[in-house]
Amino acid sequence: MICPKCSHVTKHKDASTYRTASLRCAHCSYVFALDPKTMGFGDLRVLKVADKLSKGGRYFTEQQLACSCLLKRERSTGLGCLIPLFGAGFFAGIIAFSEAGLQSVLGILIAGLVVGLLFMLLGLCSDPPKNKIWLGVQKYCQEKSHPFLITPKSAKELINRLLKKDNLSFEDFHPDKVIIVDDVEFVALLLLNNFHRDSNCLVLDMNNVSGPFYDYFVERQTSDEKLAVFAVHDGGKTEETMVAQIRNNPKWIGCEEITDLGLTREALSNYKRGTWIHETTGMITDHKPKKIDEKYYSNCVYPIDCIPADKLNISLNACMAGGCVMLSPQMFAAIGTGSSHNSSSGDNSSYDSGHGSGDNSSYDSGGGAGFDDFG
Amino acid sequence: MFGFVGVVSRTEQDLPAFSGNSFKFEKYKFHSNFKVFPEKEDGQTFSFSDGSIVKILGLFFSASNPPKSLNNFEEIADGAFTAFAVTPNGFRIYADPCGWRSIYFREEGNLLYITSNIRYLREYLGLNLEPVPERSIDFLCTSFIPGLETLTKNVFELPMGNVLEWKGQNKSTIRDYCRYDTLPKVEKTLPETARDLHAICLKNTENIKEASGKKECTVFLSGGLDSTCALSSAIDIFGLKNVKTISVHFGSDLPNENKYIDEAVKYFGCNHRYLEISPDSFLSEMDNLYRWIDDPIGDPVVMPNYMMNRAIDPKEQLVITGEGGDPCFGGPKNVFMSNSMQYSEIYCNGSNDAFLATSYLESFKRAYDDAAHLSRFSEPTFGRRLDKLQSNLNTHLTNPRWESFLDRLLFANKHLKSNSLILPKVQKTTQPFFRYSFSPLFSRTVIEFCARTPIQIKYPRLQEKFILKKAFLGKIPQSIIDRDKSGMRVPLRFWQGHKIKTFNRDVLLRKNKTLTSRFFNIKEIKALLKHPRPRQGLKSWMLSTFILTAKNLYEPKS
Repeated sequence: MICPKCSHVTKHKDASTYRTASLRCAHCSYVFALDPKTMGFGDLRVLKVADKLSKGGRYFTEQQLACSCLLKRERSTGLGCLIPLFGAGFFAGIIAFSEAGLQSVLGILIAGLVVGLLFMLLGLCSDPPKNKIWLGVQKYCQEKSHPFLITPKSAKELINRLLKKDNLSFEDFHPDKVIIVDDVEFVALLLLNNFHRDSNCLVLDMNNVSGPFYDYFVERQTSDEKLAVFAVHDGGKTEETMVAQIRNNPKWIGCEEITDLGLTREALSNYKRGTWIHETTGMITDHKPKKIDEKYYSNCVYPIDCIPADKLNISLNACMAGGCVMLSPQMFAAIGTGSSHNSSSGDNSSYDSGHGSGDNSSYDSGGGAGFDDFG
Repeated sequence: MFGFVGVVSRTEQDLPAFSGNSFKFEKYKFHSNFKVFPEKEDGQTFSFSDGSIVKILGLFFSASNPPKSLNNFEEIADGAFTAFAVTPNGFRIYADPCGWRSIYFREEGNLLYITSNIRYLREYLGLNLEPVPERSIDFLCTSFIPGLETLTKNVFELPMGNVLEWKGQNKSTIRDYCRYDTLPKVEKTLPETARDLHAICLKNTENIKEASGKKECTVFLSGGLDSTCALSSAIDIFGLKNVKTISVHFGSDLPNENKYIDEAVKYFGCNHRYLEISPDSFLSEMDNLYRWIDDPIGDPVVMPNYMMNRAIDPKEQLVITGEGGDPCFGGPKNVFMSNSMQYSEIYCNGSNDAFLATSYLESFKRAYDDAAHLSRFSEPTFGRRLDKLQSNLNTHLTNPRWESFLDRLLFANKHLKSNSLILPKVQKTTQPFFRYSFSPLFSRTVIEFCARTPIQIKYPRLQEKFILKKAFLGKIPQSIIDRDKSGMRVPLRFWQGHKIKTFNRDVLLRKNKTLTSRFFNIKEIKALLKHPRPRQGLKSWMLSTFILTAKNLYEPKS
């Protein structure tokens, strides 16, 4: 077990003593939140991912952290995993058949090849290893937290601070749109990552129909200067009923023309990346468009949080401006992750470009014109 | 007057001689020597009953209603001028009420040096110019150096609407003679207020015509509200046949404002010209251009302004622009700031002034996010300088004389951006061509109008330029009134793949690496030029133009 505080390597048996129930670093007494033997991963992995997510001062949620903790080898039996399997099978076959007395070199090689292929086939047919990443990350967050972590509790506290603002005056406040999201953590995420400022957008939680910002929303929707209303939610069977719920709730005034930005089943059917969380079992699994029905039936959730933090704001902006849904090809085209840097299929369907679209300015990231707006 | 350099002393023998004396100013034991460009420029001189004298160079608006005393001069002065006054108590230098003409000063021993261009201190007076490298941190955050300080050691910029009174060695004071923040609010109806503003703009245009003595003018048209309002005023005063217009675009394959420009041209029926700009046309001019930029200005709009000045006929001696619209009547970045304030509770430092200043810096959308990496300075120097910058900004952002947050913001923008960025940009790109440039939307009377008019009338609910739109309703195309705000957008990132990247690399690394390393982190610059990041084009441009300015000031022979 590697200590995230002092990097000392402590053996599991040394980390646990008869005096305490917790695991401790033998060098600095850091108390481990996770037991790698039961969880399959340790504190260091979570901390490294958390530090990476928060780079540049970005806040992240538990769901984002969990999704990002899923390792490549745990995602699926892709080529990266099959090649080592083949290798292992190949050498195992050579050794086995050599030991068995096979004399011909060619014969041994062919035997190794066959065993290697068998291993690959087994790998393809098997499910990825089961994990409890979601449960582990929640435990880590509860015990260790992180300066840029948004938990359900801290999100509520933050929003409460906002709602108790003294002398709230809306004279100098004039958003031109509102986005309704499905949980308070996502509200906190958007606000702390300055979405409201970059987009001049009011951000509300569908479960909270009170407070000065909600009152301001009602005032605008009953005036001549109505706000354009958007909704965004996680992918999943229950989640995609969000817009219908809003429409059916009389508290949400002026939402007859609400634009659903997703995540929709259709968009996810065409998008190849991301992760699903099964909140009951705690498993996190890789997203495969062909297995999407299975995910919807088993009440898994595709968190919108797993969109890269530095892309979330511009993606939402692009969808609001262009009337498309999140993770759609139109969205990727709008934010400029064009085909030249995309996945091997060469279509507009990924954030993978890593070039040219890391900017928050709508002019920089869209249309290919490459403008920097100087105001 | 397009430029000047001079020196003031308490004793004649201390006064250094320099070539081409234009005028001397001697009274009350103050001796001064000035060189003015062009040399024939006399300016205007007023003598008052108390013995004081004021000499005004440049465009002074009150010539037909001359000041009766120095106090009266301070009350009525307007235009784009520099004024020197001698009183029994001191030698005064006046910056005009908006900051149209830059004034830099440096005190050394018992001499006071004053100039419109910092490099003149070296070229005409032999002074050594050295940078203060830490001030590059201010530049990274805002794309200019706000406030009194400049990049050059011991050289300061006199703020707009201020007077420097010098009594001798180490006895100088700077005072705000315009005091906009003391003007009481005046309640009028919306139609009255709109009429007043339109009348002010027309009067300003008349004053420009009278003070410049020009019967014709050229309007720089961007397709936006401000320049179209300026065009409307120009046509009303100069007459349509005496007004030409020009605008830039960057090629037919890039988005442009031509649609709105064409509408304005058609609406007024004016004589218009388009200028296409590309790296091929401007890169060879960059050295010339930045020779005139004394204190770094990282705004790429400097370049198209210069190119338009270069393109128009030398006989076109008067340029009218729409500068001033944003700082006076509200620009889009104010929305960012007001949202920051509304949501300040969610930030752990949301209740203190540091949050206000950092939000302001973030709203600039320059290199603030990268400043700590791009700067060659690390803690504690970086932190100290940033604190100083924030403190400077907060002087304006927290001015208690303004009741409304938006008024504080608008006036902060005037004092900071207009004074050190917008107007120097105008001056320095017209000065090489011996041309006047002014805007009817930005004068003392306009700023006083803004100070007196309540926010609910001039800028209700953050509706950009609300009162300006009302003032020119029916006088400019409705489509321009209704259009979304758009600044001039220079396609730097698009041009990265063309010649600009090579240009940046040459300026920053190949030709001036040692100079660059005095201010910036070379490794980070290499990363900036190689790997995309937010506002890569703008940041690269900012750094390159900074180095061009620094080279011309501090290593002119290289």
